[in-house]
Amino acid sequence: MTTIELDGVSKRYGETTAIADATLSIADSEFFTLVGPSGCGKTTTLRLIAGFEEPTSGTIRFDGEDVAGVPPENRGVGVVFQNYALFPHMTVAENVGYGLQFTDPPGDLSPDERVQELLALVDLAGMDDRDPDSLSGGQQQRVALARALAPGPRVLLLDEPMSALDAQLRESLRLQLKRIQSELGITTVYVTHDQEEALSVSDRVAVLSGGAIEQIGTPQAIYRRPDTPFVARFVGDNNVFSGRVTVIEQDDETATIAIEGASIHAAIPADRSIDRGDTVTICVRPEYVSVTASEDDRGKKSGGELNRLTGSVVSSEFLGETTRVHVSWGETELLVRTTDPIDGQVTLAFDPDAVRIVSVGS
Amino acid sequence: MTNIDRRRFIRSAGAAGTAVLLAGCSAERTGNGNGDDGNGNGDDGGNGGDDGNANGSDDGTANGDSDDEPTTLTVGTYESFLDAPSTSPGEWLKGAFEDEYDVELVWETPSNGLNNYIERSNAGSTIEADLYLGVTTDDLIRVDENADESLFAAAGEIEGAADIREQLVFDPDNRAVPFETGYISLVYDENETEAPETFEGLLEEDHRGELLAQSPESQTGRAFLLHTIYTIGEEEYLDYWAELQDNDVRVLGSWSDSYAAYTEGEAPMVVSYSTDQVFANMEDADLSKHQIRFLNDQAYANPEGMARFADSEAIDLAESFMSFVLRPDVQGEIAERNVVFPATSTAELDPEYDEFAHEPPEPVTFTYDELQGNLSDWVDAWNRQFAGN
Amino acid sequence: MTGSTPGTDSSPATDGGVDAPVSDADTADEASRSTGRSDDRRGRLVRGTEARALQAGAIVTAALLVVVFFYPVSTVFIEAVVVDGSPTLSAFVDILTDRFYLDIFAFTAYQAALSTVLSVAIGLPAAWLLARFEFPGRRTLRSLTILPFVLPSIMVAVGFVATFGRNGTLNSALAIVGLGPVELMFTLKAILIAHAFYNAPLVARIVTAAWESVDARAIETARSLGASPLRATLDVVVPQLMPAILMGAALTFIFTFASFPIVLALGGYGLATIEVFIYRQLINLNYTEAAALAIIELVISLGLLYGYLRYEDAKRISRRGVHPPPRRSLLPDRWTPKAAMTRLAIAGYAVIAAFVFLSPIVSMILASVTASDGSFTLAHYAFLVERQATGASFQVRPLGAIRNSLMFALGTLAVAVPMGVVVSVVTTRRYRGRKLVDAIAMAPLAVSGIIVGLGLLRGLVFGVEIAGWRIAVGGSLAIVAAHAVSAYPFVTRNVTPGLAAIDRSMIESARSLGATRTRTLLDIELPLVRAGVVAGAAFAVAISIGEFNSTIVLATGSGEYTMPVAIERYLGRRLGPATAMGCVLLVVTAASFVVVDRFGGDVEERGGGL
Repeated sequence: MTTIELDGVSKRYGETTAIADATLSIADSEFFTLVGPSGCGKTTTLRLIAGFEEPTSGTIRFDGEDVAGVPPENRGVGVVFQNYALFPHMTVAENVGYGLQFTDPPGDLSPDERVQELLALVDLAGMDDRDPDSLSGGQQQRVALARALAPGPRVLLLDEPMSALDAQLRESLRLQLKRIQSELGITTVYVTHDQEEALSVSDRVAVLSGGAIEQIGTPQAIYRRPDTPFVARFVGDNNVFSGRVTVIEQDDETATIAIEGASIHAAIPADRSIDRGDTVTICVRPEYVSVTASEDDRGKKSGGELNRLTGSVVSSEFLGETTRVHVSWGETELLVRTTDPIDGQVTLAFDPDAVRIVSVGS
Repeated sequence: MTNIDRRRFIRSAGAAGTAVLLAGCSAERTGNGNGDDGNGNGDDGGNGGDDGNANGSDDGTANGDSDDEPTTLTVGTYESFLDAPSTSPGEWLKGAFEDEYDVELVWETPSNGLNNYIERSNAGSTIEADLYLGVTTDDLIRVDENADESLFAAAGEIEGAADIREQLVFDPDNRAVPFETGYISLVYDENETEAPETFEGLLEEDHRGELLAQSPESQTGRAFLLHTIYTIGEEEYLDYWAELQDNDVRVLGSWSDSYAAYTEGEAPMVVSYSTDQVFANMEDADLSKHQIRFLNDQAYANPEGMARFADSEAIDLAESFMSFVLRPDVQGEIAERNVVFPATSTAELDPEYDEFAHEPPEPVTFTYDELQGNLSDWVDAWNRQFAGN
Repeated sequence: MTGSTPGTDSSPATDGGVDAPVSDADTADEASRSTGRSDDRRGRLVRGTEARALQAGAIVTAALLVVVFFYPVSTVFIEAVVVDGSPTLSAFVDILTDRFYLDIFAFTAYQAALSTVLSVAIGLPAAWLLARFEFPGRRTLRSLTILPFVLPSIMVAVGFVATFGRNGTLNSALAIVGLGPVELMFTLKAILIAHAFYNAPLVARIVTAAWESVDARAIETARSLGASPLRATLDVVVPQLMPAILMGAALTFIFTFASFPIVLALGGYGLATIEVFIYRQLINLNYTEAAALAIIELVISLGLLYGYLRYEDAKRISRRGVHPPPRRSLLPDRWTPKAAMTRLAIAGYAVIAAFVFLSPIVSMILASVTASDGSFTLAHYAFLVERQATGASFQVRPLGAIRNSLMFALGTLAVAVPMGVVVSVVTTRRYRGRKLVDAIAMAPLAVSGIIVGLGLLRGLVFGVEIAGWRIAVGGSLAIVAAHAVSAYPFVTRNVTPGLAAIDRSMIESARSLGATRTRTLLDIELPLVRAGVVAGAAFAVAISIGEFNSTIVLATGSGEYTMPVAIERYLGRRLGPATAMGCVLLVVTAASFVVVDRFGGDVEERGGGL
């Protein structure tokens, strides 16, 4: 159906830059997510794609065609907002059918049939004559989705559509959204500040920070191989430290980094060159760190190539499936996972391959 | 371009609807362009489509473009001359004049009166009226101070002008020919107070808060102020007014304001016209509530004149009209219908009218020469003192 | 003006790109799934026209303002700064160093401030009553709130003398209970009460609309957090009403600052305001001083308005739906002490309101059926009938006046409502200086009517000379245009707060669904601010029916007089004919207000305003 490309797109409001030099391309039928903290420029990017605003510089293309100057009503976008933005003076059916005044329904359907089709799609059949205000938040959001989809847009744009809903509802709506999206095969741009949500529904994710794209990749790549300290910290629980490189192994595959008086071995990514004396930022996911009581661990200390650190438990949060344990290690605090809450002195161990170098500076 | 053509042009311009706004507008050639457009007449001034006033009301009879004697006389005047709720002479005068002269008389009452013609003249816009009925001394001074070119022409030999009472003649240049006068006096309710005989009497404690007057922007208010200046003196009138103000005189905006307050019994004396009882009699009202008092046996006369506009082409017709107005029978009719006094000594008045319309033993008024150069200073000084407290 | 969202918009082409490449890019095999935009020529034409309708509206509005307001007024204002052909500011220096005028300005501001306080104090309880209680005739009463607005000042003055005068209703009533008499006439108090008569209804009407769109859920939240009802009202309701209250206050100040006939009729020359001197200088043709005074007056008024608009802009609350709390019954279900106290307060207020609003109107009605000897008569109405039947062509006839007033009001409605909405749309966009534009667009509220009248005479009736042609404007259409210019600020002021409060995403949703900017305005925004539009429309009718200064100037034909003109004509030594015509005006106007409100539909059911 439709591909979207952003080529060097910037948007400035007077002195402030909302998004700078953004370049990305979204494939046909892709579920693409823009994630980042508030103020990162993700919503601006979505609004630029929708045509609510025009970029200060750069080009946006739909299917290779520049859409500069094309007003939103002619872009063929369906937009769903966080606050649903249902028209309070229209019924559910009137809301869903609103766009069909301007666009013939896809296929040979009459507008009414199209409305029914969409209401069925979002499990709201029979709600036609209800007032939006009489619906629950989740129902309202589904009406908003149905309304956006009714004219058969080329692109579906979702701006934090779940953030006003409670966790359980969010999860079920997420699944429903993903199902509908893949069923229709519509190119979708999803904006959220919730990285977990981003990882769970997206084909690909772009992480934004401070008006710049930090990294674009599949959820797995973003999670496992963050490219920047920001992505490392923002996506999922993580332990991030900085230290100086003291040793580079002969094979150029492993570096030794001095942090908090300890030496940590880290695999050197293929795309990075590192020299002795460089300051690097590294990260280790909690789930890659194994925890043992210090007493039990004595004697294994120098064995193998695992990194080993000793610290004391500050707190344990029992979450059911796992327990998040905060361990103090020197001046810093590490996050690890165990099955059950623990306390006292612990030894933490992790593979050098689990250590990700996310930035290098001299 | 003939008039018809011009009107057609206007209509088609409107129909073209370049803008909704233009639909109420008209266009006309101005200035020196006349030589070029082949209009042999050389004068566009007579009717001009510039506001459709005369045309709007009298099915577009053209004047001014005809080579013959004009068949329309346009007379500007004040509204109550035509359209007062009680009685007004306009309709009668129009009928009588038209019958006798076989021409059409068109009335015109611009919203801001004579000022409209001054504005028009200064703006170079056409004046349609041939004559203005109701010029006062103050008007004439205002005209002479503000009109860039002479607005009025001197009247020629007007038949009957010799009958005008001499003390009413107010224009040294003989432009305005007096045709009626009013006298401004006190009207009081004798059940509530006994009006004083003199100006000094108004300052008595008995009359505290009892007098309603008007601002000098109204005819009666200005006349009353001028009367105090005339009688008390140019040097002393401000002191007199200070005392009057101390005695709670009420100076309201218009004659209507103050007469309404008087009618409601808010105060038992009001500055008004000496013909008040004529109205009271018409309404069968209690005359005790409409007593007339001439302070110091005087009343300020406010003569009104008629003057021909300098641009008017209808010179003879205008002068015929003036003579007509001065005829004894017409003088009587106008006076009675306008509830004023005739300007001539030969006017034929109904005795009953005479009984209720009171003339002062001693009419007083400033002449044009006395007022010129002083009027605005006097009124300004009064304003600053009275409103500045 | 671009047609996009209120967001910053750097591309003026946003609305222009109707023939977007996007729709053409849809390939055939994907047609069933693709946008399927109606692409036929007619559809495009409609959409193209629609897309430009707002721009066109803005251009027409601006043009109308220039032709019927800014240009004419400038022909007078120029007199203040160009004297004898050379530019000078000496007129301003003279005035601003003249103790006399400074005192007059100070007094004018002082009485306007007091009038404003009194109008708000009397208007707010009315708004509370109308917004929060249910009783028979409530909606009609609400429709009639702005009736005082159209009454000519002379009628009000007559009513006030009859009510508050030495022998008036109030003193009679006080005498019965052994009090009084009170001397109100020809004091500042009389002026203040009359100003409240005119402006408290304005405050009430504006605040009622705001109160009806208060979000009850916020009150419930506050209550659930432990706030007492009073506290919840102060913390939640008052902030939501504040913009409306201050708007009513700002408008009241501006109107009373320029008050003039009522001041002279009820207060007298000793209490003269600055407008009195503008009028005085104007009729004496001292244009320099008149124009300079009027400009200073305008600057003060617009400065105040600008301050308010900045405040309003900063206070805009995003609001999606309207969830007013249910109305209470005027008669409580149970007479608790608290309910009784409330009803007692309402009864007390009703007495005051009856004196301030009802009594002057009733006095006028009585005057219209009273003969000079005090007996009942229909002679004054007979006069109207007779004038209608036998009046000469150059005389004002009642039916013609009624017909013209209604036609002009209808025309004003048709022009002022779109104008006001367009100005609202333009001034709720986000750009620097938008509130300055808004303030300048409100200038017709603040320029004295007599100055506008003279400007219209000079600028339109006399015509302008362009390339050897003198273009003059007058007559019915010009009157409608002038009325619309006077009236549209009321539409704007009633619509803007609601429009600014509409959630932007609502508009963007509509746009993304294919609606042009204009369609969005018609389909989404206007229905949501319908209460404001209807209130503005009612004001527009009121302004048109009550307008006098421009009407008499532009009524260049003899057949264009209106009801206020007729009243002025019939005003003679006897009050009867004018008051009879005043009652006709009252009835016709009341009927039109009710029609406007009813035509506006059940505003309360859906969509609030303000």
